[in-house]
Amino acid sequence: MKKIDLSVLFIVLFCVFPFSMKAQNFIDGGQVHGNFQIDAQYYEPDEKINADTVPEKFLMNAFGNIIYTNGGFTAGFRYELYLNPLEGFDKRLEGNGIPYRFATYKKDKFEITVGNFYDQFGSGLIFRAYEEWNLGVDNSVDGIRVKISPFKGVTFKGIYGKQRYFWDKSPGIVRGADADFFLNDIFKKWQEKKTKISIGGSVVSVYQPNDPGLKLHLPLNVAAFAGRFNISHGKVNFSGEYAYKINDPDQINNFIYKNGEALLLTASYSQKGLGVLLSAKRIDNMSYKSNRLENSYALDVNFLPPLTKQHTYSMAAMYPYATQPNGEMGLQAQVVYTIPKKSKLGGKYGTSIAVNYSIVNSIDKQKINDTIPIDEYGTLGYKSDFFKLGDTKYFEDFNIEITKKISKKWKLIASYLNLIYKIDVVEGHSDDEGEKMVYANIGILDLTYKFTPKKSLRFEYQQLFTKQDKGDWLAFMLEYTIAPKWFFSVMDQYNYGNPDNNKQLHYYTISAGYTKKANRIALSYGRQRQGIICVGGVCREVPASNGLTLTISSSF
Amino acid sequence: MKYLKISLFLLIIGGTIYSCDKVDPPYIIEQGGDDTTACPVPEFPDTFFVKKVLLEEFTGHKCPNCPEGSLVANQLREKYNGQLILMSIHAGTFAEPSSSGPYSCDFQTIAGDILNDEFQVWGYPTAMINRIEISQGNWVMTHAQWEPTIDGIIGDDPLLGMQIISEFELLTRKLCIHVKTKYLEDFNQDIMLSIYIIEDNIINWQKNDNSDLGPVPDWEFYSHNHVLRDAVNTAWGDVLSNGFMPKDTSIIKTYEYYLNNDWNYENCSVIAFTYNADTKEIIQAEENHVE
Repeated sequence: MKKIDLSVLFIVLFCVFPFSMKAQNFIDGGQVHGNFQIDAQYYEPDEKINADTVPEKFLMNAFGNIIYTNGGFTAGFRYELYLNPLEGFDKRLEGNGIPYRFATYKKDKFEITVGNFYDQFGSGLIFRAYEEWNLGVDNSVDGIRVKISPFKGVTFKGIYGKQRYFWDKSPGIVRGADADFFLNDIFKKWQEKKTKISIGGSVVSVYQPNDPGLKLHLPLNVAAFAGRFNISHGKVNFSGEYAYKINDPDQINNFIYKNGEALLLTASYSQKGLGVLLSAKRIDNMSYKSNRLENSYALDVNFLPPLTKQHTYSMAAMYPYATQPNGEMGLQAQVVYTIPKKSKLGGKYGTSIAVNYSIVNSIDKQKINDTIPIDEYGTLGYKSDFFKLGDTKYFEDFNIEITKKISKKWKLIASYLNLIYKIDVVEGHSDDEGEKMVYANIGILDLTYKFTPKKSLRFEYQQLFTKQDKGDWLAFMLEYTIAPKWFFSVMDQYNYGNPDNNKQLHYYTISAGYTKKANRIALSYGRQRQGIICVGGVCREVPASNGLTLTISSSF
Repeated sequence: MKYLKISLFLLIIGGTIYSCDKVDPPYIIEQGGDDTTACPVPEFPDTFFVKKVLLEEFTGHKCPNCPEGSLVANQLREKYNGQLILMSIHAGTFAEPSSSGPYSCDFQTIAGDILNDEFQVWGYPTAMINRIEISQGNWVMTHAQWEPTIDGIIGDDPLLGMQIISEFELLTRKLCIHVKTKYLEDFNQDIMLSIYIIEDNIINWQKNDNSDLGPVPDWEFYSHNHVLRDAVNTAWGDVLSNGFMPKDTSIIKTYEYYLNNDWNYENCSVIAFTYNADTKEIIQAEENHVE
């Protein structure tokens, strides 16, 4: 086992550029900002949809951010409350307190933060600390961060700390450094050139003590490295990042010792009325956590971006894709074209067409020898040909969306989706009939009529056809808006095609909301169907529920 | 000077490229398998073998329905008169310890987490009976299904005979585990051997929603039994034999293990079982109290 100490790097990063902060008058010129949100639900048992009895009857998630700024100084905290966590959120969130607090001082080219912080290196392939309220994800780092821009076009970052783990901290220590170079600023000759180039590199290392119970020779320091570039020339942009991680046996990969790799490439072209995006990625054994025993979404050190469209309509979002850190290869292509106004096809107001296609497959995995099965505990796991696709399709989505303003009063959005979804891999279970692949066709019509500039009625009709999983669905919604303050809506999702007659149920909801300046209050009553929600390829299960939901948000 | 500073930073970043522990094989630490120097093999007495079945219950101290599941499991053990071996695996959401207060005790184990994950446990309390895959991708069942499933297999003739001798030294807490497996028929499959430690009568808090069984909703002095404490030779065990093994072959495996100081040795038992490496289905199981 080779061991070289990281501490030299961090001593250099944190000590070569010492900071001093003069005492200031913290009252003069200071400003306080913040925002609050309360999500609460009163639960009613509903046997028909398998909504369990909630002993507390009423559950609440809430937070308040308070941030104070004065010149280059910023400090803040976030109070959080989960008493008890809403159904579908991790029960480990139960509790209330201040899990997030920080102070930052920024002067000229230097910035230092102590306490909790969010940040990412490049696209996040080896480090991303972020928070997503709707998922209950918060992997902020509690430690120290330093940013230095010694010259124009050059930025260095150093981070050191432990990640938030619900109301505790990770057992592992996360250390990292990142360098970013914008070459056009560094080299005088390049400053006026139309081609803009930036490059960057980062390294992260996680230290975690040994776990004797695993009976493995564990790497106590697991490092990952990444290099990236971005080249743009007028309307064309090309970027990419490659990441490499050394042996990192953990619960997610069944404690195999194979190195991890990730490659992300994106090319785009945009001009007025036309945008084209092509992206590709390959992920191979890239789960990277600050606790090797964690098998949920918690304590992710890195982030593997999804290359699939995130749908917002309820039927389109029925089968969202979750990134598979143990291996996937994906492609995405998207074209957005606006047919000009006053043309034959574009009509008086123009028409926008967005076509998107994405596909994700498994990666090639072969036995390392005849006697060791693939992914065997305490082995190298498998061999993989970098350019070869695996046999299993995880996800495929072809979708087209046409947006057209028909007249001053009418606006139309029409969409069609064709989805292929490997439910046992993405959601970790088979459907009721034991099917592992779901094939779905979805049509959506969204029509808005404006009575007056402030009053409008929106009608949404969606239909999902599939022979697998829970069968066919239809959904409709009527939403009446009195801008900018009021909205009222009724919605129903009807699982009329469920193969089990007893489960051909309606999931109705009525909602109303009031907004005044930065304050918003919304109430809704009805059924929530069981499913999963995903943000950025990270997903959580949502159990079926019935009841009254209250959301209050405010900012100042 | 400017480029000198850039170079310095590049050097720092580059230097970290080597800041990691690259592990060379073998990756698994051998756990005293056949460690007969530290643990001399004793004489195994002649015995008559019967089929024994392992019920692995997935449970958690915050699971209000779980005391009822444990009651059913115990009733079944009585019914089958020693032919049924019980193990309670605390894993999943209901087994997560609170940071403080009554439910702060952590009964989870690495092996339990691995089993919970691998066998796609979808509810608590549920159990596996001899790790039989009851439908594709589904190994666990609710307590209504336990008895008919056990009834279907417990009368079979044993294909392997297993004996355990465990010798415990109180001073050092060293436990020598000797497991003898006898092939009662010709075998032509890869057989694995797993050895787990369980502990009975751990008095601690348990959620409960059945007032006929005990206090609700919190049962302070609940007796947790058959609690999985550790896997002696990892969650998946060791290879016992590969390929063809003729009838009447016997293999003795010996393990040196140290019992955790927090466990009451008087309440600990060793569970050993053999399973088919391909199907994971358990062929024979045995239990022996630590002595």
